[in-house]
Amino acid sequence: MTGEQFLFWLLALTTCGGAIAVVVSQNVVRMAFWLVVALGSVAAIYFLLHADFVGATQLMIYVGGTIVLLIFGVMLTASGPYVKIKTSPGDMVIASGVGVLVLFLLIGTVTAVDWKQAHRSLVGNEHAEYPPAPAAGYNKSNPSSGNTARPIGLKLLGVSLEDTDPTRKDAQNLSAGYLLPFEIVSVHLLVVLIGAGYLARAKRRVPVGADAVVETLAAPVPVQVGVYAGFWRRAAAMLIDGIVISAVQVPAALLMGPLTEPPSNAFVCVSSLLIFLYLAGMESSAYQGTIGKIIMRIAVTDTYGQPVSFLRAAARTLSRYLSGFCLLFGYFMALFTKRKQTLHDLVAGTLVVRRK
Amino acid sequence: MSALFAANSLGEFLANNVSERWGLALAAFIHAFILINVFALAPLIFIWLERKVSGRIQDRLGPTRVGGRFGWLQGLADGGKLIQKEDLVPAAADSMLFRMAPYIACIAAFGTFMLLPFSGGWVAVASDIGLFLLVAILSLEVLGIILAGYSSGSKWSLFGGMREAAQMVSYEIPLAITALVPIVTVGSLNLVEIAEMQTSTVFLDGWLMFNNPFTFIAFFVYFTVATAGCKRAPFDLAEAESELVGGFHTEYSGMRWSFFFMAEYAAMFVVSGLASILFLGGWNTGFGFIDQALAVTRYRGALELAAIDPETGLYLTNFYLPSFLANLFGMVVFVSKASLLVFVQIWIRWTLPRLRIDQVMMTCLKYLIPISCVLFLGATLWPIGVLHFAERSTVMPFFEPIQNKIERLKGVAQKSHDDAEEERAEQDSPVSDVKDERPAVELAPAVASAPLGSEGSK
Repeated sequence: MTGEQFLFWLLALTTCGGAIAVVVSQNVVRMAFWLVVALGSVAAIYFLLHADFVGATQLMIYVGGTIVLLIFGVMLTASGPYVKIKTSPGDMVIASGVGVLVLFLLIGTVTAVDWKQAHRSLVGNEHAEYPPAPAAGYNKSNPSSGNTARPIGLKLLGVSLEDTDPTRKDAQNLSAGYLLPFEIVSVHLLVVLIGAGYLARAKRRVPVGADAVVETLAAPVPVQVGVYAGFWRRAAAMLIDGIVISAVQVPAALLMGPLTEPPSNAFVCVSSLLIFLYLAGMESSAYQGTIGKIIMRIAVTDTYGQPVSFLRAAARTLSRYLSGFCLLFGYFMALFTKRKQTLHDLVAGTLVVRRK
Repeated sequence: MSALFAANSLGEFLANNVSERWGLALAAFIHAFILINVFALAPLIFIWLERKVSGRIQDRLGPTRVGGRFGWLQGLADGGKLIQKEDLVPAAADSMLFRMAPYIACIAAFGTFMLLPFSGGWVAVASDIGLFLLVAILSLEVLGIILAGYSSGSKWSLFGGMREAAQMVSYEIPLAITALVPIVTVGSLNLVEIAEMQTSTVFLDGWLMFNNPFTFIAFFVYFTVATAGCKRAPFDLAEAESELVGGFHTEYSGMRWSFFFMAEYAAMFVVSGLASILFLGGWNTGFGFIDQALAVTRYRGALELAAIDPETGLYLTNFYLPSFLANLFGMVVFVSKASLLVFVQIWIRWTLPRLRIDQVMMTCLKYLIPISCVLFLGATLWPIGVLHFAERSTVMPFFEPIQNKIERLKGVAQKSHDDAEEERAEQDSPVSDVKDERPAVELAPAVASAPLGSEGSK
């Protein structure tokens, strides 16, 4: 038995022992402790396999995650010290039935694989010996084995080193790596983060009677305080605005040159600035809304029903990018938030209400 | 025997010369033995230092008697006392978890020592993702504290554990982000590489702290966050004795109690060492002429280790004494820097009053996290902006791109190595001219391109 095999068996035993102890023990915190033992041993097996990055991630996410689970799931919900979980005999029968089925599934999967063939195709030799000869101690041919961080990092940036054949110069040679999954996961996490921030934010209470006070104040555009504009009305307003903006932008672009060519940087800058000024300026003006909003009979107010300042309107306009970045999730938030606010409304502290 | 002193070839040396099977195990054992001594000795010294410094700050003398004039054996005397104490487990405690918790804290703190390089190549595990792994292991220490607090069966302990949990989970975020700020500049998570890249050209210009304004501020943010991460005053809410008796360690006594403090002082040393590697040049002194000479010597030592006997194809693992001495000097510099930062932590503890728990959480969530995010963003944009205007990636004077600098120093080392090889060849066979065709010279580019610490290809 080589050292690596010995370590593997040791770690496999602690993994399985920890997993069994999770099931057997009745105290919730002890369960969490044994879960940490099992997950930590799995991380150690990754290190044994020279997969440093996966091992470190396992430690950080699963072991660290169990700690958080321990804190928030157990300690904050426990009604007394040392909560015990007692399983009823019925549960026990069902659980062991499911467990045995999963065990059969795993055994079936493991035995279904032709390991000899898999090993031979892996090493690329039809006559490779099986079981494979254990690696003898220090890997001289590849001393940096296990240092996978750089290739993984480059792949996440869309650069693939091992697929790249230096003798070929064509475009097919370049691989996209994991750029797309990475971006999707990033957007997903951003959405989760914004959602969590929205749920956990301090609820600003509108003082009692504020509606009445607001109605007595002379607003330039009479708005219906408390009657919030719905999602479809706002979507229609955006559509009209889009038509208005492109009615100016497309002819201007045609003057600059044919549409098939990419626009110049100066044109993009100037038109972005003009669109920004149009949106922010109209919303902070006496009209309290863009042309689309005027047509759809809605207006932008602050949380007290007052017209917004230019600064607030500018913040709202810039926050639209935030709403757009997370796969338009920010816009769809108007469907379920209490005052039908989108993400940029929440950031800027504005409301969109119906006109009288 | 000589190559034993060079840690990055120890495993290979033993595998070649002792036994293929037991060599690595023996090397691992030696590494672990050396490290556990560092791990145990550092708290001993820092506890004495803490008592002495706190005494001086409070206008007392501190320990004066044990072990002579300065009471320098006080730590040992404390340890002796703690070993003799009775090992108590309260009746209300969950005794298995209660006994286990100090070991978890201790093992997590010790685990980080494996990844902490003490000098060029003097590291037990030279991982490509050293920083990530170190932070991941360091964050496990909190598990021991939480379990201790929960399993003691005492309200004070539970409060301490919960505070520690809340504090650690919050402070990990700015810790990781500020540790990433220098990483953006050097582009490596390998702690050895990060420190090697900070070789100065003239004076202090290589240190990442002085690379751009964002890394400069990030050092102070990191140090604040790291102090809180070690639950040191003014962030020691988990053991706030004026409110919680002793916090999470109220019910502990004897050796188990002292394990928590060993873990705490070891963690202080680790975060301070990490600060000196990430921001303060690691084992570089900051004086260009010293650093460059030492770096060349170290690279030369790596080349000597990686030299291959052209006849047998085996590694010669030549021992190069100047390289060993350079590494030893580097270790002295590194430990001095880390100890200085530990001293600052002690100084802060005895100067500032303890914060309230809500103030601790507010400092982190409302100030440190946004600040660290801004620093991270700034550090990302800074080189792009500077490159746009100045066609270089930093505004520091005496600028030399990191890659050029390392290549230049490695080139000098390679040249001196080749000269020595030729001399040796002439001495071996003064008449023979066949030896001039020896493949060592052909091997040279392959060896030179290998990173320090790896042994090149066979």
